[in-house]
Amino acid sequence: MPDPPRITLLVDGVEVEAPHGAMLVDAAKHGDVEIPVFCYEPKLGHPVGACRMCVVEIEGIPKLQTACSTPVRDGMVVYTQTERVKEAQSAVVEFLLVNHPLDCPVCDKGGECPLQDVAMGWGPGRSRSVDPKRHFQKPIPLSPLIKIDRERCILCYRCVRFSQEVAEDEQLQLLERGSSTFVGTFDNRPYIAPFHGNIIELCPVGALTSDAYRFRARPWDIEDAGTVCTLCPSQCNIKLTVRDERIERVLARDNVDVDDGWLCDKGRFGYQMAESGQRITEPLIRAGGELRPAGWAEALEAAAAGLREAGERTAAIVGGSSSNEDGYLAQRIVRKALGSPHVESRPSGGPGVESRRTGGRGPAGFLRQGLVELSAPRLAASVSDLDRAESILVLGTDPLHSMPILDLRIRKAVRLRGARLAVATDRPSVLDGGAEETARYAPGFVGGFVSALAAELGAAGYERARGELGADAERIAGALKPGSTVIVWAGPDARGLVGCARALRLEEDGAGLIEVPEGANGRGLREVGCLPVAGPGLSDVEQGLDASGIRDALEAGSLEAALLVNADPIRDFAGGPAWGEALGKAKLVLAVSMFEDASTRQADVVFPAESYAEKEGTVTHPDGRLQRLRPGTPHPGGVRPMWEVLAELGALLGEETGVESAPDALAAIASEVPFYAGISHEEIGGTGIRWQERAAARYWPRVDDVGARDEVPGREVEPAGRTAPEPGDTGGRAEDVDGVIRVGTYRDLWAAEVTDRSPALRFLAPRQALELAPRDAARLGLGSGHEVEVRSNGTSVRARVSIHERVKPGSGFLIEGLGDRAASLRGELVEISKAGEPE
Amino acid sequence: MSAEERRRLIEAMRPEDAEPVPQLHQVDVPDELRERIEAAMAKYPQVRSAALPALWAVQRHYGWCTPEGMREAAAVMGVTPAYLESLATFYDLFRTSPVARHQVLVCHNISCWLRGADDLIGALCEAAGIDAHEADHGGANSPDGEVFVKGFECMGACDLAPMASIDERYYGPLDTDDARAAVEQLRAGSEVLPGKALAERPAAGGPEPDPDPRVKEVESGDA
Amino acid sequence: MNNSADSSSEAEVSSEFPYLEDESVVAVQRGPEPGGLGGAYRAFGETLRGLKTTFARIVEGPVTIQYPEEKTPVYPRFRGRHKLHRFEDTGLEKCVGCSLCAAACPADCIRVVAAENDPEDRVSAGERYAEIYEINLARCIFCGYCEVACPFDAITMGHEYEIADYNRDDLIFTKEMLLAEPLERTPLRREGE
Repeated sequence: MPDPPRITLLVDGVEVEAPHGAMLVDAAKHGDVEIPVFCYEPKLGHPVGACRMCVVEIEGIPKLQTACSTPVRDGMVVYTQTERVKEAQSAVVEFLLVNHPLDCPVCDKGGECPLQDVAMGWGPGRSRSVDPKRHFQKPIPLSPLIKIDRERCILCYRCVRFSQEVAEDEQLQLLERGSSTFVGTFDNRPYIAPFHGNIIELCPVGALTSDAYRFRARPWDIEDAGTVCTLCPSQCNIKLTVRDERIERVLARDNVDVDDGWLCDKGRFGYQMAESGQRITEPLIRAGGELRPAGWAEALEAAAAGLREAGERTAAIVGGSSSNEDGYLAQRIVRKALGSPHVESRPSGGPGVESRRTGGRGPAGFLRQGLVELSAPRLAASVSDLDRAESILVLGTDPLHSMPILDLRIRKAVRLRGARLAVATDRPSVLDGGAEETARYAPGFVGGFVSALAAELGAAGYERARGELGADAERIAGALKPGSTVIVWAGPDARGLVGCARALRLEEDGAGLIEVPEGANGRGLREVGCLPVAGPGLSDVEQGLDASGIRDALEAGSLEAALLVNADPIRDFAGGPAWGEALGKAKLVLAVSMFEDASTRQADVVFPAESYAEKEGTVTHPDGRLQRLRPGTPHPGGVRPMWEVLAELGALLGEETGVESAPDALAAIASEVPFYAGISHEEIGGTGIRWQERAAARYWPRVDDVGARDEVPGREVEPAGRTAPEPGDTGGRAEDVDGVIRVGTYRDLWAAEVTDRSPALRFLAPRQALELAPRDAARLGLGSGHEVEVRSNGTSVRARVSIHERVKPGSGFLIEGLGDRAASLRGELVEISKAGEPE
Repeated sequence: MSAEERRRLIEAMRPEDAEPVPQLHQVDVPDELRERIEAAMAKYPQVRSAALPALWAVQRHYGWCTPEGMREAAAVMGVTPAYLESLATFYDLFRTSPVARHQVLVCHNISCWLRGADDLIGALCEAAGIDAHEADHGGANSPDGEVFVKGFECMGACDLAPMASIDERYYGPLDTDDARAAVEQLRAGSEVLPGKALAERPAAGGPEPDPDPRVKEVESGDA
Repeated sequence: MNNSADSSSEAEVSSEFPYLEDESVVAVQRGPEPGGLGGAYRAFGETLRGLKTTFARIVEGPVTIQYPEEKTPVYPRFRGRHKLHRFEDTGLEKCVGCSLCAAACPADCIRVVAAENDPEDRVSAGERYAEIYEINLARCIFCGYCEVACPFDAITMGHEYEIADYNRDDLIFTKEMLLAEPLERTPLRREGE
């Protein structure tokens, strides 16, 4: 986007150069003039000019103007220091303080409070008001995470604007009128929404305070440590508030290219997991059926001995929260020291999901080809491209659950610029409301939909679908603008999407694809070689087994050892409990884990894992941005950096990595991943760098080198079950069979370990629920809250019924990641039977 | 609130207690209410423009803007109930707490006040058994649930000062005797203050005045 | 100056002070030789003057303070060991744990960890109270800034100055220690004393 032209204005007699269209408050900063503000917050969208703190005098305009909502013009003459301005500002401060209690020593905001600063800098110093101030009951919980003190509220609207215009949940409103106005919710209900923690940071006074941080520290007691949150693929930039070597709070560290300055509640309160007293802090070895603490030397030796024995019958599972360094070293140990090709980081396969059809034993070239085509720098969109694209397609994922910050970003594009949003998912998405077009396909049928969409977009080699599917695809295709579309997608079949990308000219500037990986660092792990089909830099390697293949091989005994790096396959991977049986049969399970979980219960050696707050290393954002993790707190107990442990383990197994520090590990990655070549911690810096924007991006593998192309888009991906839908079948068939529904699964935002391990978030832990359309529920005689049993292929899951209007009739949805067998149901026809009445 | 109470309050908060846009199947909207709201929605290009008519419909149906009624309206309109509540609490004519059968809004703004609004409120309250101060500051119900009296801002009928709006009809000018009579009539369910209603005034489209003889002349002359 | 005069004076000087080249050196004037009355005065005069004070004070008696048994009184504004205060009527702690003292402390010797009051069982009058309040007296420089910073007059500098100990850890005073009255009060100097 071209920079706006620069204009010159006069602020307090000083010539200031500023971009055209900037608000006066921002323009004045170019001339080092500070204009005080309360309600102005560019992140919240258009200014409202509610607080009147920023009034200035502009030549030619008789009345004082609000600098926050006055765009600058060439030749404007502005005065910010005249008597008139000072009097007005001082009056505004006095007015705000009329009802504001003087309890700064008690208030949590004290010391970092904009009202304190402004009252100090621009206030009259004393109040003339002698009347009693407003009184409210205080502090009362607004939600389990936030307390509200309405006496301190200065009614700046920031929190309400956030709720209305950023998160768009509209639960927070101003109630009553005039001097009785207060911030509240409908019927005094709690304000619970996935992003509501942001209002704590937005509040310019101490009216909204974090329950977890309440009274924990003062600004002068703390140190800030900037790092990156690795609890989900959003990889938001965060600032840890550390006091006495403990994390007390997480704040956003604005990075417009990543998170736009917002955080989800998982990122904001999930730090409690790192501070949990239940963490494993020393290596454990199983002796006589029990895990007992052991020294590092002993544990490393035990692990090395077991791995040496298993040799090439070893498999590694690298969990999504691992850094690039961890993943790289783990795959290097398995591939080079043990000679095993079985390295996996995707819980359910990721792109090129056809591997499931062939049991992970298909031609490696084809699977790599999909990856190479879809992740190519040419087709990559950056997160900030969402701010420019004229249309956005959300395909096969609900960003709120899979990559929450993207949800806000997409809403912003729609709200502020009127971008056209199309949503094509199996499960109703929270973005539906703002979407111009929505399409629902049957669970597990994304491949068919993408092919139909490619055909509607005019891609060569695709046949137009008939019936409802064809009509849906046509509507979606109509909403997309070629050359200016960003597709946010997850998990569908690669080939159809390549066709869509071509037809939509996604290689153009400001258009492209953003893939939402399953793991927080899914993209980074893939690029450093944690895939069964590709080594570091997506290089050609001997093909290994994918996740389900590894599980089956462990179960069958053809694999003997499993290395689980920050991974709990029993909870997170397809198959769930079946992994428990598989790991139970393995001779050696080496788990790297922060907590004792279902997988460590099967482990023979456990290494304590670092939390993201302690880690040093790099991660790769889904849009290719390499970001640095910096240690903010010391390692508790005997926890050691994972790169160090893996390097030592490698050395014990005869693979000398030469890695002696975190930068060494990155250098080793850079030497093997051609498109990361030469990257260093310094270059990544505080805000990261997209590798696509570096010269080394030209070393991305060429599609033609990756193997033969399958030009014929034949039958699309089959879901895991035996009863795969036919192309063109959108699930309507299910209605014919009484009590049979096609069930898909989704990963709920809160179905994660961090929810259980963070006391503040525990109340959000979801219970298994079967989402049904009202019609299906009525047909099956089920009501909200009924207990049901969902059965298919010998798998059975218990769930409560939750009726949802926008669910496509014939579809049902369960939550993944709750440790039951739900994740092995993907697009299968299931039988549902009532197991209990609502509680 | 004690720490224990607060802890229990927080523990009782469940994610499902939050109130996003309710779904239609979660509420039981009376057909008549739904029709009225949908008719209002059909009049405007933006759904939100129908918020005030929708709240009116809720208030007509339930007597006041009940939380359940606002949820129902929100579900029909596809907005959050919080949005409707913010409007309902903003506007004085919407009641957000249970209200007696008959509503008497007494103007206490400058014209009416100068002409004895305070006495009028006092007499009304005395007759209805309501605390006058409470009625003047936010409104109050009579113990028998028949009359609600509230001091109100200017209703634009200064020519009737001191006036009151009784069950959405303007009456004035009123004195203390009228006040007592009105309360009795409201309780009895009979016609209220005959002859005092604005609607009965000729200028307000009340009963036809005797035709102007000159008009007759002209008409007959023409004929 | 002519040449002949120059040569004659040069000869004279060189005979008596051979190292002197001109009259820039001033000869020191010495006092009378030691001994005699003058010598005795010089030896004892100042001593006697000192003794005059001594003898003059003998009548006042000894002023030595027998320190550990007897304490030096201090002035009212003497800055000794800190004290934390409670409200006399309610018995609640005045300190609300705002940490302003810690912010003001130039020696960084105060540590405050606040917590939330239970309105049913209050520790302080406000919403928050100091759960931990520690002063490391080994570091404290007794500047009194904490007292100045305190918005509730919760901390004041006391008169206690006997705070030596055998162990540095024992010099970290906790809230309970600071709230307790010192066992033996230091005498206060009276007005005009």
